[in-house]
Amino acid sequence: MAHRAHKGHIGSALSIVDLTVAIARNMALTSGANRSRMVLSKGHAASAWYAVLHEFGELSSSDLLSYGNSGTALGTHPDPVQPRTDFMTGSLGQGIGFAVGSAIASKISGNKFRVFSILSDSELNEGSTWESLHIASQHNLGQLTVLLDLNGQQALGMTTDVMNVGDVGAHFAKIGWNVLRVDGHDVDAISDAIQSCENSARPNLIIATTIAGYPISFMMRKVEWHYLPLTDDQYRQALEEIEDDFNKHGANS
Amino acid sequence: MRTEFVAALCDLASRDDRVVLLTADLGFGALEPFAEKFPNRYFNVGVAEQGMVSAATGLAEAGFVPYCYSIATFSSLRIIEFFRNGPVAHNLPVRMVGIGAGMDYGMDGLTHFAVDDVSMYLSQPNVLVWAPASPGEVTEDLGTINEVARPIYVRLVRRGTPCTVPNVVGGPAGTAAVKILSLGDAHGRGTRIVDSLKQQGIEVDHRVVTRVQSFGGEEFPQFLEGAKVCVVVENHYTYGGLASHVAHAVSTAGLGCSVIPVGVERLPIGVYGDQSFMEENFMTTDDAVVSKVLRMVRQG
Repeated sequence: MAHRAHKGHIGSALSIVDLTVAIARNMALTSGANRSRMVLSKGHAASAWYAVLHEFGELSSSDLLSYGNSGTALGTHPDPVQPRTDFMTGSLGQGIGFAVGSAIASKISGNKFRVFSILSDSELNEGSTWESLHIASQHNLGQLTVLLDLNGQQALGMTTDVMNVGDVGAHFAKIGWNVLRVDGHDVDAISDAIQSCENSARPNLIIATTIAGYPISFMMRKVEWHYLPLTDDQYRQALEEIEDDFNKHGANS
Repeated sequence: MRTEFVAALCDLASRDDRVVLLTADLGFGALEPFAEKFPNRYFNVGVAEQGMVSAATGLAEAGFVPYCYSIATFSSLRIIEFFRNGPVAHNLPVRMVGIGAGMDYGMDGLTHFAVDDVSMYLSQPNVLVWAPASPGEVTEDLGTINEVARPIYVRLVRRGTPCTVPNVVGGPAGTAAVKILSLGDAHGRGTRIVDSLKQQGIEVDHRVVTRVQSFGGEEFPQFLEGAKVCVVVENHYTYGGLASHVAHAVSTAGLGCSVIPVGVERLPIGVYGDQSFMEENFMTTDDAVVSKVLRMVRQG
């Protein structure tokens, strides 16, 4: 769909596909006021979320094909007009705050629900992100599980070159978060981590080591794929490589 | 008004489980009654205004009615993008409560002067700005305000004074050629201008405006029908606030009424004083208003 719409953010989206699948598995089990909430704080990776919603029957093929067309409900960033999408995101450092508020609501209401948020490592540049992270730990929001998409890249370079925030896990642990680490392209491992922290008394951070552009050889770890759309040749090659990867690893990655 | 606000909020919260109070670590000597009565619905989020409005968005999405408390500058300018992408974009009943409208914080200087807060909020669609004219209005109307199912900015001064000036909404429009609209707590200044104009033999119809609907203002052409001059008094910059809002409404309605803004005319920096001193030095003077009105009225 990104190729058809000639849109970018493909590398960012591929980075979180496996994270979104694991979250969607959990969300599929909930509904109504008790439904799990998912806030894609790195809103520019929305195309991955759309693809997963399609797999889970929430979006039709024609919905997906409308992506990028004028009049579509699927913009390049999430919007509550879309199914299973409670919050509009796209301005980095805001979605995590919505998730924190949802977790407070879960805590003080009778509707105990889980709240998931996918945070990009570049969002750790934003001061507002840290405001929200501290609010979560100060108020013991165990309902909240943040999946950190640790791909080491941001728009104009590697995170260590642009703004090195150091040992993220240590930072979070110091301020009271329950920190877990997983391979961000192993769906079962991510699902297990999500399940393991269901009854945590503290907010949970799952540090998911990911590769931007995974598993496409010419895209992986290349900063320019934050923005670039695919040419026809690149699109064909990308499909072949994704199929090869699927045949090699199965649906788990 | 702080005291009355918190008392009214406590009363409201005892009847409405949806009410939640968040503060960005401000409200010493004011918020304690709520914190003590409703510890499960009171959250000090720290000095984190952006986090506060984002969290309020999440709470409101789940059905709560969150009130976010801070000094008015921090409740407006500091968080406006978060408010736009949160409560406004999602049309949620988040209430941003700003204390210290205008130059209420006197000696504290520009960082604490909310002279551009109304313009921030009126720039966003579907937002109600509630600027009570008196502590009594806070007590009486908070319950009604609570039921408004969209984002609201609550603009308060720390103390406030009683108000006997009628509201622009509710009463029949008079026939005076000169009309004065005062925003919320500015009614005292408006009354002073009324007195000055009466001494010059000018009949004036003075009303307070306490609820301003962004992208709205339909009530103003009705009130100003037949008027020659409308003086708009506000503890705010003369651009972007109520005067601009009224001028827009008057202009789009095709009325031939001139709007004279009375407010803060330039960046209030470089000298410090109490609220009265700051207003004398940075706001439109009474003499300037009176001479403008006289000129316009006498031009025929």
